[in-house]
Amino acid sequence: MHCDRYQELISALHDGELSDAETRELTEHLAACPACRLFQAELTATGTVLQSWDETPPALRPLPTSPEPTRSPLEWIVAHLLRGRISIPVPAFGALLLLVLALLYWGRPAVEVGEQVQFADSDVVTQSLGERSDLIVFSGQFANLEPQGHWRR
Amino acid sequence: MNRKRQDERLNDLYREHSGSIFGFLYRALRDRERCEELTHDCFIICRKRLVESPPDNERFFLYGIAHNLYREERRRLGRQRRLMVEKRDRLTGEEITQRDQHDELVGAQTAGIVRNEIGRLPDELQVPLILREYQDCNYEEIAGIVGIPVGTVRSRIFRARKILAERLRPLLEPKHEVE
Ligand SMILES: [Zn+2]
Repeated sequence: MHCDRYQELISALHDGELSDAETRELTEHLAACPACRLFQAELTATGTVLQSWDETPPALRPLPTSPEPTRSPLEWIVAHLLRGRISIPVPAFGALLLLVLALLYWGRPAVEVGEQVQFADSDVVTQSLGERSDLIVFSGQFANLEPQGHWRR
Repeated sequence: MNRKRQDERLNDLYREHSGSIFGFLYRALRDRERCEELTHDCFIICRKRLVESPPDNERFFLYGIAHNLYREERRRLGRQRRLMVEKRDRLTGEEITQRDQHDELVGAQTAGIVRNEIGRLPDELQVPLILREYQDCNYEEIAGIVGIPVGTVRSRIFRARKILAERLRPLLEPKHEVE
């Protein structure tokens, strides 16, 4: 017997997944096959029994909200500039650039470490004092002088 | 989508679908506490993907994530489960299962028996049956979620039902009890 194939069709019919042609074919077979009619009845009854397994879902726990993006202010500005959300007008940009350059100029020590400078009519070479790279100390005969900050040439 | 709108959208999806996602995971894994966690994880994964590529069918999309979580969990439990089954078989064999079934029948624990019998189905039959019978997915959706052809979905569901019809025969109406 080829009833196995028809039984698969019965299962698919139960799920509303049969084409019209298959439905016609199955209907014809069922009219002639008591075993498949019995299987169909059994499958329907099994479906009812399966529905007795009813599970109540648990109460909802709230979902955590999205984490804050961990970005430094600079990254934020760059990201927004790239997306075109911030547009800086040209004069404002120019003024900002001038301000940055000015800060860079006045914040710079007047003498570099290792530079030869004139002090009390002698040539001396400056050197850094430990971690304080902004302080300059003199070597040689002026070694016991107090370290100086911004020493002008 | 900005963060606030994304959270709102996710909470809507969570309210609407968490019950059925939990239902699927619980029926397939049968560990309430673990499945609550996995349901939660499913929506957190969904949030990430909502941003990357918003799906057309969100329900189907969520089942896809849940099915991956189910598979990972099965893999994780694989060894543990095999050891348990080996132990049970060594101690008692098939008879104890029948005795348990009888006890449960006496106690009219129909749902408990159904639960056990679905649990005893091979994994590849269990998931399509659960998705069809309890989660109201059609064959095409199941094929997409599990990653198998529609024809295979149809035959697996049929095979699962045939096994269950036999094993659940004592629970069926008397007129269907045939030998
Ligand atoms: Zn037949």
